[in-house]
Parts: sequence; C-alpha cells; structure tokens
Amino acid sequence: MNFGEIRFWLLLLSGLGVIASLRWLLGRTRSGLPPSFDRVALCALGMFLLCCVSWLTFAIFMVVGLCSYYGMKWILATHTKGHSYYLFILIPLLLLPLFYYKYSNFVVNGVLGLSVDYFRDLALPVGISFYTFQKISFVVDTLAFKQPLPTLLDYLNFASFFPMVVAGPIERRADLYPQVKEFRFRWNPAWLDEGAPWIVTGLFFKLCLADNLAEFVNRQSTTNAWAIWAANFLFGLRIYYDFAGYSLVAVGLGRCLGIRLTLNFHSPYCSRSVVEFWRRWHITLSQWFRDYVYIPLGGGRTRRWAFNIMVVFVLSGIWHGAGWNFAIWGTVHGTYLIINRLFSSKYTLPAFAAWLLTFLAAMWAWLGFYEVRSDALLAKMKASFTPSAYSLAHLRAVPEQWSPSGRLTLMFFLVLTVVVLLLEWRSVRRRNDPFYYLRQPWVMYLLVLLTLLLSPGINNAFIYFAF
Amino acid sequence: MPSSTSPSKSRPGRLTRRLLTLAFVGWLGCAAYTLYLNPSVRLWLGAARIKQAWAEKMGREHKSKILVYGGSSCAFSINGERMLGAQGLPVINMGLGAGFGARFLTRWAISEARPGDTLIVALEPDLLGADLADTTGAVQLSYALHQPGLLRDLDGPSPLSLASQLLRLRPDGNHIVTLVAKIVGGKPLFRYRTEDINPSGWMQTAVRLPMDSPGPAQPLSAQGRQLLKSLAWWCSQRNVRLAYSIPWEFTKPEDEVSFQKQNAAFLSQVAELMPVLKDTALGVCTNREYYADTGWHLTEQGSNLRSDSLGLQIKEWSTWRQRELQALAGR
Repeated sequence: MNFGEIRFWLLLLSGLGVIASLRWLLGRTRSGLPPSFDRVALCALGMFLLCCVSWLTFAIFMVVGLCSYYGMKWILATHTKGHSYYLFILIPLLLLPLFYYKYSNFVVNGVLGLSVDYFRDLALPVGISFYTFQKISFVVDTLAFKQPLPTLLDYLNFASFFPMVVAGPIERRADLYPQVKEFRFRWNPAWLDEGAPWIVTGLFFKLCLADNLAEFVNRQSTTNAWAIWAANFLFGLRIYYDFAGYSLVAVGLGRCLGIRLTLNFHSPYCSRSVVEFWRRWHITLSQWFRDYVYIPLGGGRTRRWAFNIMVVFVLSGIWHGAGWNFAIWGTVHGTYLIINRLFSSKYTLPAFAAWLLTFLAAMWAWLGFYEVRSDALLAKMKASFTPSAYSLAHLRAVPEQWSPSGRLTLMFFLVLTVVVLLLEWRSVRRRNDPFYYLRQPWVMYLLVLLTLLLSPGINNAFIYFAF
Repeated sequence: MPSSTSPSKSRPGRLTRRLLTLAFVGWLGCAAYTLYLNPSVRLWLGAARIKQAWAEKMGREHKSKILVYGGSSCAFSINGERMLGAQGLPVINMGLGAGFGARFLTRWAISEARPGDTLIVALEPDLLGADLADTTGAVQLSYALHQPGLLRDLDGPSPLSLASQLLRLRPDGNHIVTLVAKIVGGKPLFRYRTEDINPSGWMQTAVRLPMDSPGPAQPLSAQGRQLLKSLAWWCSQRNVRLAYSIPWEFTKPEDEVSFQKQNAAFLSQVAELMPVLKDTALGVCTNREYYADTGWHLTEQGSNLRSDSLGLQIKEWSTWRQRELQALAGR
C-alpha cells in the first residue's frame, strides 16, 4: 500500500470500480441494496489491498484482529466484572506476533548474543507496529472503559481502514469507530475537493521533497562534525517529508470517503520547544503512549515524573525499531523533555532562539535514529562534541561528497524545502490551520507541476514501512 | 487545532477536476518534452538510428554481421569502419550509455541479431553485478524509438507495468536543475553530440577530464547470471554465435595485478555461461593516454588498439578455458 506507486492507485480504482458496479447492480434488484453492503465492501476493499501488499501481511493482520476481537468477546461474555485484569493476558497475546517478527532477532542475537540465524531472516509484515497498537487501544478502551463490543465487521473496518492500516495514523475507538459504523460509499464532489489538497500536498512531500533529499543523505563520515550535521539535517528533512507525506495522503483519502482521520503531523519543525515538537510529530503515537503508558504510570504529577518520561521515550524509541540506536534516540528525547520541564519555568528564550534550539536538538537526535552501527553512532556523537571535528578543512570537505551537478540540485531542493517550511510556519503561526497555505488552489496547481517535473521516481519506499 | 476545511470555495468537484486535468496535461507535456526535446534522449536516439542504419547496411552487404554491445565503454571503443577495412569484419557498435542498464542494452542489441550473426557481449562488469531493474532512461529511449518491446524480458513480459512505464516519461529534479543551470551558464546541453558518432556507431569526444580507475569487476549478481543464461539460450535457439569480451578500463599501474585477478574471477563465472574471448590483459589498461573523459571512454588511439585486438580474437575465435581463468584468479 505504497501511495507513491501507481500500482496502489490502480488497485484502489479497480476495487472502487467493482464496488460501484455491484452497488449499481444490487440497487436494481427487487430486494435493493443490503443495508450492510457498504461496510462489507469497505472491509473487502481493505482486505484486498492488504493481500496485494503480501499474503503474510494479510495473514498476520487477521490473526491479531481475530484474536483481539474474540478475546474481547470471550471476556465480556464470561465475566461480568474485572475486565481490566484480562488485559494483562490479552495485550501480551496481541504483542506476540510483533515481538516475534520485530524484536526476536534483536533480543536473541543482539542482547543475548546467541547467534541464531533463523531469526535474522524474518521479514517484518508491513504495518504490524501500527495496527497492533491500534487494536490494543481498542481492546483497552472497550474493556477498561466498559464500552460495548462492536460487530466483527465494524471492528475489522476500524482496524483495516485502508488509508491508515500500514503506517497510521493510529486511530482511537472514539474517533474512528463511530465513523466506520455509519460508513456509506457516496459520490460526493465536496468530499473529493476536501481530500484532494491533502493528497496533492502529501504526494509532493513524499515524491518531490523526500525522494530527492534521500539521494543526498551520506552517512559515511564518523569524524567530520560538519558532515555528520549535514547528514542529520538531510535525514531529518527527508524522514519528515516522507512520513508526513504518507500521513497527509491518508488523511486526504479518508476525507474523499467521508472519514476524518487524525492529522499525524502538524509542522513539527516550527516548534519552539521539545514538548511542542512531540505534540506535532507523529501525534497519534505520542497520544497513544501518553494515554496507555505515561498516565497509567502516574504521569507528570508524581515524584518519579522523570522516570515516567524516560520509560515512555525509551519505549517509543524501541517501537520504531529493534536496535540499541533506537533506544538511544528515545533516551535523548526523554532527556530533552526532562531538561525542558526543569528549566522552562525558570528561563524564557526569545521565540527565534527557542525555535533554533528545538530545531537543532531534534536534528542532532536523528543520529540515533538512522545510524544503526553502534560503534559509528558513538563515534559520531563524540565527534559532534569535539571542537577539532569542526575544522575549516572538514567544512570544505562537506560539499565534496556530491558531484557538481549534485550540489546544485541539492541547493535547489534545500531552497524549496525552506520555502515549504516557511509556508508551514505561516500556516501554524498566523492561522493555526495545518498546511493552510500549501492547500491554497494556486499553490496546489504548482505542487502538481513540481511533483511531475521533479520527482525522481526512485527511492520511493516509505521509511516507516520498516517499522 | 481547528478543524481544517478546504480553502476552496468554488463549485463542488471543480477543484478535483482541475487538479486531475492539470496532472494529465502536465504529464502529456512532460512526455512530449522527454520524447522530443530531452537532450540526452535526443543524443542516444540519434546514436541508435545511426547504429540501426549501419546494421541494415552490413546485413545487406554481408552474409552475416557482428554486433558488439555494452554501455558507453563499448560505444567509445569499437571502431566498426576500422574493423571492416583492416580485418574485413562487418562489425556494428551497438553500445549505448551504461545508464540504460544491462537488460535494456541486451534487448536492444538482439533486436538487430539475425541467424548466423555473431553477438559479442561487452557489458561493463558493474552492470552484471547489481540489480538489473530497467532504468528511467531505458524506458524513455525505448518509447522514443517507438519500440516499447525493448523493455520486455528475454523470457517474459516487462517487469514494469505499462502505467509505470508511462509515468517514467518525465524529467526529474536533477535533470531540470542541471538543464536550467546549463542554459543560464550558456553551456552545451549535453557533453556528447550526434556529430561525435561515426557511421558504425563508434563515438569519440574531444573532452579530456581527470579520472580515477573505475575499479575491478565484482562477482556476477543472481540477476546478471540469469540474464546471461537467458541470452545464451536465446542465441542457441536462433543460431547466433555468442561470446563475452571484457571492456578495457583505465587502471593505475600499482593496481594492475590485483584488478586482473578480480577480473579473471568474474570472467570465470561468465565462462560457465558463454565463451569468453581471450583478451590477455583481462580488461586492464594502465596507459592514461588511451582515455578521454572517463576511465571507460577510449580515445581514438586506444580504441584502435582495442578494435584491432578484438577483431583478431573474433577472427581466430580465441577463447579462455575456465580452468585458465580460475588459475589466473588465484584459486
């Protein structure tokens, strides 16, 4: 389900074409269109698109989905009280496939050092981290907050709504379930007009900005601090436009179908503190950890608030990938938040300095995200704090990483990125309306042309598919 | 966060229609530019037409012909007129750019092969040591040639869907930026010109640039092996004689022995699938004077030597034994 590939759009159009034809045919029968037709069709479309990703993806999705549904059903049917206690059995069960496919190699070979080759070759089913967390949140909201169990069809539609199933947003029961329960396929041009700007902006972010920047991320140097910073900046911009692009297309597709998905990114690089950054970056994951880990641990009102923050961010790091580097990335951000909480009430920085500090801190931390080699990660972290690594000779060596035409192209895309960031900044600070200026009609026309002219057509696998 | 609404206030559906129309018209414009104006496509299209015309002439005038193909190392090194004049060999230089990829270059070369012909594979080893996916350049040139069939596999359909192929008829960021910079700077739009191509398909350039050695051959990839295997089968079915000839690459004198060893290891893998012509230098050339703008592009002097040497190998059909190559590789 790669929105950057034409195959996805052709499969989607084919699926929608079949549904429209069946609707037309059944609508002309004596009994008319069955009331549940649209919801069945939506579920079938989601399953069909999952199968097109891979059979393994579909099979694991169904195993986790059916386990969670029938687990909830059994608990609700056989026990009138104490549903919450069963969460301690059901949640680990739901996490088992995720642990097996994502973390077994890291634990068995990386942590325990057992050298079992079998675990090295496990292919991660696409989207498993996202839909597992979404299903867990549904289970918790249903059992702990005593919500009624939906029908299996509605539950599958909640879990498999195709725009978000493989890379989020991680939706909550209260937000998505009421919408899929009432879902109807309708040809509504106003919905299309509402969704199209998100899709255009998302595809521009992904195909034009992220895919072009990806070609310039050079992670080789471990001693040149300027080169390390350059790689961090480029990677930071690339991953933002990659993931935000995907999420915006998901939002747009949802709106075309009359479903409002949660916006996962709200211009995080315009933040003036790390707290604000995490309210704008991967919003649904941050909210998930806040509601299901941080608050149950006691949140920020206990004496061990710093410990709680650190637990959340280390877990968030490990959610992104099975490796020490992801744990370090989470630890770095946890440390930022603790420092922020300790000092933000005592010192107030001017707006520009606060933005710059936040931006630099976020960019530095990306080192822990992309550098999977532990020795190289430590060397790079050390180099970034070594004054001699910032020599003039090192600075001169940075542009030499790219060919002359490559340097020119990179400059162009950096300028384009700055323009886009400024438009995002204006949308946030002037109107507090996400991507408002990028969704203006004349800007969208320009984005369509720029995407056609500048997209490289390569490097277009979404980074977050690996999580 | 406020609930976001579309800024559009016009009639419902109009915005979406306009965006879709713009996308379609924009793509048509991009495709027209790519097929009719893109300087690199224009050059290689001109080169392909010249090579096709020479192949037709050789096919008419001789009982059988010899097709030599590869990337630009082949285009710059095989002088067909010289081989015809000096050795009586009706050679067509089918070399194009390495950026087109091994799969496309092979399909392109065999499109001119007829029963009784000889096909010499002179692909750069790099092209057979990696993923062989068709490149954007290959798609663009095959459509410019009106031969989209060149994107098919030797033993099956194209791995790229029709929609993916059509979407590749566009420029990209690097192309647009460098093109604009060249126009603004008053520089030529492409380093090579159609006038640099001789009737047999042999290319030359007056450009001289500093260079490094491209590096020794890496082992055949699974896809590279499959391609050569399919090609050998294809040639055996059509009575086309087949051999591999390693291109000459610039090598620093201190690297000569180690590069020859690695090249021999590569050639011994190729020899499992088809005959390998006996170039005793094993594709290694340490004379800087024989190279123009890259370590693969021979000057006239260099290409004369390479053409004479290849002509002799073809005439004598002198090929390596696999055991010899393995010994040279130090196994």
